[in-house]
Amino acid sequence: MSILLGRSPDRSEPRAAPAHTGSRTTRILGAGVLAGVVGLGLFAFIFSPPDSRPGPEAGTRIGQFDVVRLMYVHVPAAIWTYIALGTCAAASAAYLWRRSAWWDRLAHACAEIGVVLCAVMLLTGMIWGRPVWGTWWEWGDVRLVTTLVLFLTYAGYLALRSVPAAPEARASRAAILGLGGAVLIPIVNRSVEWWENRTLHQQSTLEELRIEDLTLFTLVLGIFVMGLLVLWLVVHRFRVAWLEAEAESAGLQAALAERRAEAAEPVTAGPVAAAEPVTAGAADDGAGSAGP
Amino acid sequence: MTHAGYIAAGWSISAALLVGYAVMILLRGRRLSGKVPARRRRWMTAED
Repeated sequence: MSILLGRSPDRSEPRAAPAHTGSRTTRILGAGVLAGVVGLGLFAFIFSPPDSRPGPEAGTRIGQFDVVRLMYVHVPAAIWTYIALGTCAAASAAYLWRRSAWWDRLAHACAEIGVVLCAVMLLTGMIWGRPVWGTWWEWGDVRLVTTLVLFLTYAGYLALRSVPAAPEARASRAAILGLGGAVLIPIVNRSVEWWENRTLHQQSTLEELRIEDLTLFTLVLGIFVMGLLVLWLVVHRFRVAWLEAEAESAGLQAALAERRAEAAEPVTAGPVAAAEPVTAGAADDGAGSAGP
Repeated sequence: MTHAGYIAAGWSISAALLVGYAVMILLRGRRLSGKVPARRRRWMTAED
């Protein structure tokens, strides 16, 4: 993983640094994502059939029909939400154990990507639910509500990270929330089985769809392409988090150096001040610019 | 195609969110790279 994300600056030889977060690895991944998206589009809209099967009465057909094509985004988004937020939790645990900034930045990157994917999952689920269930949202549905709580928990994690604090304190607080929030992942995933009478959601898309070969292939392709995209995003986001920390550190060091320079400067006194002893009142009027 | 509006809306919103987020990350990376001295970002080399 560290090979993908990047080497520590303290271990590598000095080499030219590009003014962006790209590398050969990310370009290969990005090309794979673009090719995968084109392939997924072809299979999702052209090659795969609509979900339709004979109904209980002769001559009728039941199923999701073409709206099943939303599943090729919704299901991969759901699976990679669990993986991204689960990785955030694992990285948070590793941070609390090892106190390494590397794990903290990985947790941050995965949480942010997980929140974006969770938003995609929620929105595509709502759009799918309207024609299939006849409603955009149902507050009594445990799957929907637990997913929303998962989204809000990790949105809160990101908000917590933006609260000004010492880097170590901020990372520790975030790690505790990142680790604790992971309790929700199995609850969301298993909610359709644990509270099956309190949800409209089907138990498992892979089982309930009675999947045709091409439908299954398209779904698996969607999961694979989304995985490539998530990996590409994690690498870039990790590097951005690294740069954020470096920029914060550089800014702090520059401010400290400026302050030290100010403190080291001798207080220059004018001809009048040089001739007269400095009183307490005169010092309060600005002579004390040297700082503490 | 049945439910074309829902399908278009679902895919469009997903694409907009994911592409928008990816572009935002790339731009943040470029902006921050200008603030960090080259020796502190030498782990990001073109040869990686």
